[in-house]
Amino acid sequence: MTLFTYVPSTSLAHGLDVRCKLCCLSLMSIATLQGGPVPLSLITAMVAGLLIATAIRPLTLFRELKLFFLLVAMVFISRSVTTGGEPIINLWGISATKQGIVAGALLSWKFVLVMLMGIVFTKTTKPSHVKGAVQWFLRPIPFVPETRVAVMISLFLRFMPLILTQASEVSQAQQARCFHLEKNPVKRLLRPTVPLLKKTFQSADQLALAMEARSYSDKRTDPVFIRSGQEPLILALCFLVLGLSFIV
Amino acid sequence: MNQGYQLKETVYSALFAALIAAGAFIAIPIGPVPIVLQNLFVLLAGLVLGPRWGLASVGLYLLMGALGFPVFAGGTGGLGRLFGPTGGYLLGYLPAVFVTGLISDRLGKTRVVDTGAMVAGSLIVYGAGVPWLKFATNMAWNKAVFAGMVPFIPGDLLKIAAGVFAAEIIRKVMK
Amino acid sequence: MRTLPLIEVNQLCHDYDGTGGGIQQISFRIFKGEFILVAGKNGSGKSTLFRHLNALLMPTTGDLLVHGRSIRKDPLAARKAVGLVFQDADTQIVGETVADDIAFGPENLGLARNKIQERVDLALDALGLSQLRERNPSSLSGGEKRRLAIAGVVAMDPEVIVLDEPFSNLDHPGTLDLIACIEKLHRTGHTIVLSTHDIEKVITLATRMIILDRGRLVADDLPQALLKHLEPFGVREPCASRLGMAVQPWAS
Repeated sequence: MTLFTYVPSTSLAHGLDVRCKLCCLSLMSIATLQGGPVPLSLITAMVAGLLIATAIRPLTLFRELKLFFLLVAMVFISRSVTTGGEPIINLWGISATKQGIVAGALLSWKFVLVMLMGIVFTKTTKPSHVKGAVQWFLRPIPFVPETRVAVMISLFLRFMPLILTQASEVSQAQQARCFHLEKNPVKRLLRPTVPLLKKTFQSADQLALAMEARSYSDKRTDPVFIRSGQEPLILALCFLVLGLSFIV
Repeated sequence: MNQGYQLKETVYSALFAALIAAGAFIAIPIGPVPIVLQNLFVLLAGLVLGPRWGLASVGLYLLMGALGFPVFAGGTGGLGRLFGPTGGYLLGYLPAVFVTGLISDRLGKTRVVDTGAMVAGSLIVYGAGVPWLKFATNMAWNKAVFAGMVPFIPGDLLKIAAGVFAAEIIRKVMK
Repeated sequence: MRTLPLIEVNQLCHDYDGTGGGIQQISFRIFKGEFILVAGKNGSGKSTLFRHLNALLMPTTGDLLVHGRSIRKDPLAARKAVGLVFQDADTQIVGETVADDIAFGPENLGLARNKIQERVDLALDALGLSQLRERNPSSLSGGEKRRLAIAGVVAMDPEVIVLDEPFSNLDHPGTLDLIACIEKLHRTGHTIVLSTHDIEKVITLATRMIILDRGRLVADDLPQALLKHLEPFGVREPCASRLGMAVQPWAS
């Protein structure tokens, strides 16, 4: 999971205001899903540049995204053999058409590109800043308590690794009591699950008490944003590419 | 001293979202097959937290995944995964948890109602996941169903049975 | 001349569910600058009592006054003046990083960002956590997590810091670090109320000792005066005292 973890550094992407980055991510995602090969090549070049700046190794990329690449391969193959047109490859009675291969390649390219963009984002953004950006974006929307969502994000980020640790502890405790000898499959599911659920709720009770003790309030101090000054330029660039994706 | 902040529900909901995220990585071997617990936790969220807070919980989970945190199955995250071929299952969690919670809430929290609620929820997840898969990969309908639904049914039946018991126990803990 | 007590507990009773299990008829006073050691075995009512001090729980009968104001009428004043650190450190830490978690309390108070920054820096310094400010709380040791929980409370600038079994699950170096931090907090003007099984750790720092037994307050005196009266209430007498010697401080 190290691929998606924030690593502090001083690249262009690191210094940008979170809200700008989030906007760009959305704009570029739309542009990717929308556009043909020309804008896609442009975006690929941009993303490649940003990726290199984050010093991710290609090996790590392939290793940690195995399942994802499998899904993408599945899409590629499926599209190749099910799209009508002139057959190019013939294997075991299934033929892949030229149109199919092109369509499959294009779609696969898009999926991979959006995934890589997401990785650039999480690698260069502090989670607490992400929380601040979400709060800021949710503020104009009525009926959504943005500060509470932000606190829930904090709790999520803080407790997900803890729950995983607890899950492995519960599983080890169960194994020590030979639960793997249990034949009834429903009981096998319940044995590790129920203690984990109980622990989670007990932790939640304690947590709520501790937050009350620290005077939890929905009216909290606003988050602060750090910017590098290059935001308008980058945003303009993204809008340009988005426009291009609709035209070309 | 809740002061109207519904602090307990907020915390329950957030922690359950973390549980759902963890559920993508917890698999219990039943016979030769590892059964992944994630969708069990999603439906349980509806049963135990109710429709609104269950929805908040799943919504938070999907939001975190959409923002790029590696909480989807396989340790990945981001919009690419969410709108990829298996994205339908993930997005289907939203209506599923709401409906499951609604049925259980309105019709009484008995074992029979809970079972029905979980079945409805599971069907909704497939109702969203299978067509999405079909359109993403361009498979034929019957292939999509055989690849994207049939293999998971036995495991889901076990999870529903387990879920009903688990919901009973957890509701007592929550008082 | 005696000043007014910071906290006044009057015949406090808390009955959880009508079965008479909680605390009964507890009365005592806390003055500014004291270091009160609360001793008693499990189930003697220490945690229940502590949760009244910052108005998390309300008394069934009796009252608790903070700065002369009843917690029934003004719970927020109690919440402001009294900071409570719970026994389990993990379920008090809510932030993604150490600094973020400490900022949680001041953010709730709606303080300005620069003020929050100040409070965070002071708390990090007071608890020896400055090197760890950007760390993920999951990666901290038990002792560091405990100090983080305390830092989060210190950042809210309370007058009284109440610690519920702060030494549980700590190794020896962690314990020594914690004792040093608590002593520093006391010296810088905070009033300390602390419960522990192993009173030898802090008895040399305490100005007063209170013993709880089965929900009742059974002793309230100078720590040295009560050393020989601990065993009947399930609290271990420090070894040095058993041997007729003076109890040595753990941290220098």
